[in-house]
Amino acid sequence: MNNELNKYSVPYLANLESKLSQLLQPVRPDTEFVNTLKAKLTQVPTIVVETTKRGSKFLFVGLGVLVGIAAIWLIGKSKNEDIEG
Amino acid sequence: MIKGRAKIPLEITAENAIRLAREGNSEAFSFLYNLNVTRIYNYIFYRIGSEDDAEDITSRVFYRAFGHIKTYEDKGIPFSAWLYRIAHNLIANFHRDRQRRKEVSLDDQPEMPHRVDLPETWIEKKQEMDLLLKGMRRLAPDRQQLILLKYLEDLSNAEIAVIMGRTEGAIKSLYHRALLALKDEMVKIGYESTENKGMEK
Repeated sequence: MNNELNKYSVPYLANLESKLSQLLQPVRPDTEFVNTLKAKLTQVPTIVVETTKRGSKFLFVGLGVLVGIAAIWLIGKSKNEDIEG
Repeated sequence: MIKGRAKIPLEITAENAIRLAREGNSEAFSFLYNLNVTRIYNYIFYRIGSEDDAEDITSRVFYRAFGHIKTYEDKGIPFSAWLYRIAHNLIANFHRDRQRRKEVSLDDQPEMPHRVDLPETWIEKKQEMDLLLKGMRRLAPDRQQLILLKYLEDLSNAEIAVIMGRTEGAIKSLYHRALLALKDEMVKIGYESTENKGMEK
């Protein structure tokens, strides 16, 4: 440590300190960035809750069941035709 | 994201802002943001050297801070100390990720902050600034942090000690070591010619 101190005298470091205070000046962030970020952080997001109608739920379920039954019936029919043929 | 609340008649001050922000008051949250955004941006900008990355990391600091504000414990330490710590960690992550990606080092491409100067002095200043930033970014993270807090924020050793979680004596000695190291780094990258001449006189 002492060697290091001798290597650079006090005025030598004082010179560096004055350079630091001269060159390291605060910069201003872009105003648009600052405002946009603030808005994103503080604004309450609008949440839209989509409500589904009960009727449409039953319709979809019913359709699904019908399609399923039809598919099974068609597969069964085609198998029977193969056996008879 | 902090939930908004009905306006509270209470005036927001530096003293009550943290408590109110913890309770979900978005105005208190804005208050803290306004108070700290420039200093945090500056700190990150000088550590990283790119405006885009500085903006990105600044955003992350505030998202993280305000996302966890309810867990923040007010122990009398400045709120900015907490933000600096978050920034410090995110900068470390940034450097780690950048090393993994093996991108071109920013040490080779220092970016000059925007300033309004006369053209002739600007070039001279830019060269000095480039050397200084190159040298500084070669220092250990805690040394960089100390130099920036001292010169950008103009903080005392005692205030820096609080932010960095060390004793005032430790900061004093770290500061001296940081200056010596910075001088060494700057000499390595070509600062000695002009500086030594000046010092020999």
